[in-house]
Amino acid sequence: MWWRCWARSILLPPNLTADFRDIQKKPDMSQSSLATPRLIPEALRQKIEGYIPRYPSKKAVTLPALHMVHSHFRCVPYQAMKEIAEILEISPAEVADTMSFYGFFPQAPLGDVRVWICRSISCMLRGGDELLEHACRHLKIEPGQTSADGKLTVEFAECLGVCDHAPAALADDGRVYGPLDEAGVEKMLEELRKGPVPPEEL
Amino acid sequence: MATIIIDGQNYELPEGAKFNAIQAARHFGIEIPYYCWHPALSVVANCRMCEIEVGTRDSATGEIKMLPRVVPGCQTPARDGTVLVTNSKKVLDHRKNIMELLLINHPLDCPVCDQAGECGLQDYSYSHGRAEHRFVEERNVKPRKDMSELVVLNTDRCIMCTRCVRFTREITGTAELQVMRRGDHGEIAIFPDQPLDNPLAGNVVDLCPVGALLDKDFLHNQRVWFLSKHEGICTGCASGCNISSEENAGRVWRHKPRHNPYVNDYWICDEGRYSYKAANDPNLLGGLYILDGKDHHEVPSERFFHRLTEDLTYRILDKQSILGVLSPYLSLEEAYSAAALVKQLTNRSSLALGPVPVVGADQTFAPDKSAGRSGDTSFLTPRPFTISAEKAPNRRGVELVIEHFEKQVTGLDDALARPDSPEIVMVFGGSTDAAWLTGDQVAAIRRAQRVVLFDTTINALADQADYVAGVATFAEKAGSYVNRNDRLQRFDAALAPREGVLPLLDVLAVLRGTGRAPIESRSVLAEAASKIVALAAAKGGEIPEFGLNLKGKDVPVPDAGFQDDWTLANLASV
Amino acid sequence: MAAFEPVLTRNWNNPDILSVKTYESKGGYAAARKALTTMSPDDVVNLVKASELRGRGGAGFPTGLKWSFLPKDRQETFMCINGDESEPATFNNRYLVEKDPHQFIEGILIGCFATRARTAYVYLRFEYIKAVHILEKAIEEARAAGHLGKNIYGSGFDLEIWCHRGAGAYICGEETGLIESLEGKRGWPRIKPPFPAIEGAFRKPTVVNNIETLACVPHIVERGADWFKSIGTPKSYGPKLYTISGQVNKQVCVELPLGVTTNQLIEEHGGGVWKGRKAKAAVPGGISMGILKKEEFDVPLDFEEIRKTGCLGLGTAAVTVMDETTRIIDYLYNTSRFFAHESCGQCTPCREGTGWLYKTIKRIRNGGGRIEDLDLMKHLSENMGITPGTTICGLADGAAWPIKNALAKYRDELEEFIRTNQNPAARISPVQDAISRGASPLAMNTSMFVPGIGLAKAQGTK
Repeated sequence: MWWRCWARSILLPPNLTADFRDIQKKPDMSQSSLATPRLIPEALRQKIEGYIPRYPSKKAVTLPALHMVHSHFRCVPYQAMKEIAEILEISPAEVADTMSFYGFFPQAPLGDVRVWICRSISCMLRGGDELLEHACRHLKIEPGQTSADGKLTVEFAECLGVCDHAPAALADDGRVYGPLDEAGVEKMLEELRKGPVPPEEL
Repeated sequence: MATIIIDGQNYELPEGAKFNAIQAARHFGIEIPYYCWHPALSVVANCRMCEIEVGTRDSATGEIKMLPRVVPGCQTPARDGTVLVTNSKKVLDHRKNIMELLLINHPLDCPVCDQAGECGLQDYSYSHGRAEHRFVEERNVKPRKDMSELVVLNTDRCIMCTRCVRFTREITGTAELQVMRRGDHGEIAIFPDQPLDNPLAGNVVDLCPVGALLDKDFLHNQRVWFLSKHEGICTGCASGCNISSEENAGRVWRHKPRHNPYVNDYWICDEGRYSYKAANDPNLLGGLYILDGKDHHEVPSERFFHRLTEDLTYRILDKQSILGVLSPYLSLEEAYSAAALVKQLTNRSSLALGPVPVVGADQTFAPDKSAGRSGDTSFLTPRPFTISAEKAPNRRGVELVIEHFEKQVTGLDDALARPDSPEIVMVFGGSTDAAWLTGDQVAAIRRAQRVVLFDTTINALADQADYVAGVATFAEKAGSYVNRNDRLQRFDAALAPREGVLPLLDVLAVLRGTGRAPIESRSVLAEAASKIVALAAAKGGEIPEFGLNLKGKDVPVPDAGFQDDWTLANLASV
Repeated sequence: MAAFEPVLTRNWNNPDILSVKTYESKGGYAAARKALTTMSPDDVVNLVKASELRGRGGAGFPTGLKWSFLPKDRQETFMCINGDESEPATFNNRYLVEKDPHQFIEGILIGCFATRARTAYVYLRFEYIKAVHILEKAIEEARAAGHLGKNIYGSGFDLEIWCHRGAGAYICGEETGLIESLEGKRGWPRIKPPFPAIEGAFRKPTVVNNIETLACVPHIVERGADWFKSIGTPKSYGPKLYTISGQVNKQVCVELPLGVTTNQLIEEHGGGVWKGRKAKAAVPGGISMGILKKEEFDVPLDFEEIRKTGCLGLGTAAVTVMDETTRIIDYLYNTSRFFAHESCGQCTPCREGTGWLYKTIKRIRNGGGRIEDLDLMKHLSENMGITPGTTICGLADGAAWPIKNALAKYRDELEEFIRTNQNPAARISPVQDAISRGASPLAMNTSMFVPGIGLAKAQGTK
């Protein structure tokens, strides 16, 4: 038969649409980020903002800002990306997108000096790969890791542009080493262990 | 007249068309496969699937010059004299190569993948791929990640078309999604603790041509080939988004957007997307009931109609007045038929528009060509998308009906507050929200001597009305709605009415004595169009594909009708 | 040919040249003053056009022509200077910045005047740490001395130069990748059209020039187009900085007329092959350009002739020499590793193809090679890049060229390597091997799963 009993409770059914709207409520990120303490100090913030007039769009300051944050913290934490996004009026995901594209920005802090050992063609032909292995063996780390004393981070690099010194290495304070051999690598690591030098001494 | 040559054939391009090669070829029935391109997003040409041979024909000499290399169809404008070759060996070989490359790091997990059956990789592997598999190296393994409460990303299935990323940057402007890292280690990702939760987020699942972004709500519920698709209109708000309502075994399983350049372009909001759940509610109102003393008793239809007509006839002879309450959830046909019934019963009758729910303010996403775009935008026609604050599908339609029968539209509260309060109130509901009438309104209605209710939920008025009839829900009926911009749009029923439930149109036809069930909504619309001047354009009950603009003429949109392959795969097979 | 007089490197032996005073005292900024005060921008464009200066960044596109593509009615123009010198074995731009920054700044000034760009961004790769310090200081000095800033030399022309540092992505040397990176996005190259001259940085007309290209401009203004065209070979005019590195005695950067040969470079400037060995091959201009056999060492290294050897082009004129002991498989391993690491991941053929090629070459090198892997490599490398039309930018061409060249020139050696270097541990599994040969998994015998037997059987099916 067409007509059937409803035989169901007279209780009001849950309103699915209204329920769903509750699920959809966005957590208010702006407030929660205000609640957490700021990571980027005011002076650095002003330095980043000082770059804004150089470009027609605020977003273009992303890379300079990442560089400035990186040299301040020796890494780029998520909270810093969030604050960069806030300064530049973009979404944090856009900052992270840009950051992760480049090989330069680590998220965990680096050693006091970061050194790249080149493995591209000219250096490879002169033993770059082996020297990288040797340096890592010497410090008992894998490429990309930091030595136990926290002083040195050794990474491989694709062409450092110092092929006149091949096989070459570059420290992140700007010092260039090469042509290297195994003894030269060890000597270099000892020298770098003393810490970075200011740009005037390059 | 602009002529384009595709595979050696001449075709006339439509006037004013700003097509790329894919659109132009599709216009003439020729397929160019694609993944990363989408008609509403900027062109980045990164999947390289749509590459074809392109050349130009000199208009003076007729000489054809082809480019030596293959060119992406998505970035090739279709102009006068453009020559496209889509079926040469070079092109077919190229497609084979691309399919092979896309699959080398793709897992073979189709049997457990929700996308299977509507998957771009499956479809194109079959039609454009190669059978052999030359890749013997280790595959890259990538994790499965949650994008939000509702969307999951199977990173290993992703082909990096970046449609989803472009959607969040170009359409919603919220930019929650990003590409992480580069090369074959690239992945789509969100920023930690910032989920993909914008009101249109679900569209990324439709945009994804493969099984990477999936809807958790639908996950592992149904194989898509069991679903029947029905062209519907979303009833979540007054925007009237075009949807495909997909059903199997008596349940609606999901809503997907259908393209309508005048309404929702290619999108629907999440609220509308998940509004299908109301159709599956096990506690909907069904059956016919008469209040006898304190209790409702279910009665067979003959008895219900007999008692109701007898009761009404007696009271009308006694010069009692009737108020017909038409909710904005009624279809235009239902509203017309209900109004006609009330008006035909007595000349002491009046009509009122039921309460129109409003939540917050309208939310409009207005993409433009310059903001947030990552690729070429010269083919784009940006169109805004609005989520209306008005959460009912047919206020305008009901108003048109009331305006026809009465000089002006009266709201329910005003009608109830009149000094000559009606003795009989007939309420035509249809909302899936059981609280669509407030307690005060229910109490005010109940002050009448007789209350007749046609509705879909078990609500406070159903508890007190003298006559209660359960009628078909939004998913169980066919008809048309008029959206906030006066566009009349047709929708089909997705489900058959539940057992023991009649469509309201059938009930009204019985009461009016104008026909026997089943009533076709089209014939009711034809009747309404013949009587109501504002609906004259819907003569014969005909409504064009993208709806009928009741306010005036539509500005023609040359690129209208391009249904994206990966949003609504297999609709053609319905 | 008259004796060649170096111009780009003329001040390199003078460490004081870093100061603007010294540079001025050597006649510096005279060309800029001449251009800004006595010539119109179009005069400069026409002069550079007449000199037939071709871009030094790698592609060799005529610079004057590039400048003339800018729309006539433009309101705002940007100049981007491509100092993302990441092509392996290339370091001439670093020398130009570190050793004579004002020559470079003068070049920017004239280039910007010609293109009416009032903002210039120098995109320097982050590895050039010393160069950035030097350049930023030089820009400050030049600004203080009135060579930059407002109303330069009273000509009404304004110019600001900003340094923008990269962050370790090879692809940012591609001009649209550079623009995207400058805009703060990932360095994914854009599709063309629209070309940067029409819609570039910040959606405005933009010129992207290499450092060395701009460093040539003051000399052209000073000495004229005819002087420039008197140097070099047909269609490749002017002086060029060649770098030579790898297995030679001296790794140097030298200024020579375009069109010297590899032999000349090795013998006259590189001090010969190291360790007294003979040369085997050389990379002509950065690894993207392919590989030159020893027999091809007398081909002039210019924009045109080098192509006849099957190489992609002159590239960055960075010659890397390999001695007779070097194995081609190691060369391929190095180049494929580089490109798999540097592919930006946008276009499918490059993203997947570079990774695939690297994995295959690595397996061959480890002793798991099959002869048909070479055919696969050939097929893959022939179908990636802008040459067949399957990618947006030329990175994939660069990845494909070493492989294409090596297979054309050293296939015998590679086949021999595969035959004589077999290591069972590096081989692919017999099942995978069989599937890759078109065997149906259903028809597969269980013996396939037993190593040894399966392999023999699968190979027998070929």
